[in-house]
Amino acid sequence: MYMKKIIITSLMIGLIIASSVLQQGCTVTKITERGGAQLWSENCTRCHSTPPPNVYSDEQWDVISTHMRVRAAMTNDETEKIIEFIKSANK
Amino acid sequence: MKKIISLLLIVTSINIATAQQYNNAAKDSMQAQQKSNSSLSRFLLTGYTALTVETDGKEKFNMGQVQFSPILLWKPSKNIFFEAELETELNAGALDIGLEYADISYIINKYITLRAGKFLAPFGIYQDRLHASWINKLPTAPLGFGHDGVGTSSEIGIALSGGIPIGPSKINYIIYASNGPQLNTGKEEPGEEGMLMYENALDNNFNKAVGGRLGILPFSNSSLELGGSVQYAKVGDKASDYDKVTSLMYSFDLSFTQQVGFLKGMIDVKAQMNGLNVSKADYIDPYDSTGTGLYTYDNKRSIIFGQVAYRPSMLKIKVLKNFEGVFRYSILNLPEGVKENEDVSQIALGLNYWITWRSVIKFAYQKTGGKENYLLQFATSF
Repeated sequence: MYMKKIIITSLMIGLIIASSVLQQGCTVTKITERGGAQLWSENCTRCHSTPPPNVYSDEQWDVISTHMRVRAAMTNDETEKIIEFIKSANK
Repeated sequence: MKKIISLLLIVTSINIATAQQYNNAAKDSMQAQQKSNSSLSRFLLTGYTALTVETDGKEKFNMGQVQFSPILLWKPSKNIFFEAELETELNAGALDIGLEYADISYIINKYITLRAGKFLAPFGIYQDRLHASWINKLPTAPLGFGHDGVGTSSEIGIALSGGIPIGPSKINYIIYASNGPQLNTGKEEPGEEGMLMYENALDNNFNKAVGGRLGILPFSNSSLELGGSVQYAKVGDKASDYDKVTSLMYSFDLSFTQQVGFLKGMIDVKAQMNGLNVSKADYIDPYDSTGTGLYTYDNKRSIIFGQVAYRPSMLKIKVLKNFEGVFRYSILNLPEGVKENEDVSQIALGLNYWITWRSVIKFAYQKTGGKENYLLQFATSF
């Protein structure tokens, strides 16, 4: 009984993911070539809504980005690019 | 005259040098002060709070679930970082206070961070990334997830973690050694024999649990993450009848988040399966009237949840794009032969309204086994 439900749910989830991936196309850009704004939006939305840059000061963003680097195991390059973007957006 | 002029020049030079030294000292002092202020400003008090109303529509109508979880973040230097969360919850008139995590990290290099203390277990994604009420898309945790669930929620020990880009993909990893779980023999809590107790500050057997998680994000837009976690530990007390009892935990998780053009919105899929195998042991039968009868069972438990959320974020009508629909299905499978055995499944349907990026009102219908519940929650981060 459970197995049937799991299989059906998994198939539905798989279908949604597959169709979304096909619709977007397979992106082959290297992560190191992506801009800070893009990385910021993509990494935040993996778990929660994306906050506007102006809700925290540059120093606070520095702390938050380290928190997120540790928590979400973001790469060093991603973290640095995101911080650079946020600081430029906050000016 | 020459001597006087020379003397004046020397005195003036000394004065200038002294003044410069004084100025330099003052400048250094100011810079030190600024640095000090800067280090103080790298201290952030944040967190989240939630108020939940729950009713079954017949007998129960509780408005007393209040949660307040302050988080303290501090970055005293470039490579050192401290984080802690205090979880306070008023539930059914009782106040629960707990230290969710408190750990210090040292960033060794681009790819390795050392962490020590009490940290959220990198066991799947729910507890580590999704449990906070302003992030969780439903007012409740999936069945068996969270504290006292099947699988660890936090660990006390040391860990190495990091993220590594590999072409268009990236991986993240964490490996750790911790005090690990302890076996509940049921002597003090009949009916809970064979279950594990987590978050132990004291070791019971001179043995450390070892575990880790590997996450793979195949696409460069980080939309898809597939993860696998494992933990192995000796769980019985040293020199007791349960000395050789071990536990093996494993977990698989999936996260997919993407704006989908033809759906005019954001799709968010999360799924996780935890499995727990504890080696066989003899426990006191809680239903044996003599209190000495023993029984054993195949101690395997598992939990699964799958969740799909959709938010029409690409619509032009502001009111509509703030709504979000959620569906979650979760299952708790208990071992065959255990005295307190009741497999349960749960469905939850939710409708959320996002007031701001960090404040949400959630309404949910939940059916667990045969029991129906309605929940309303306001959650926000600060």
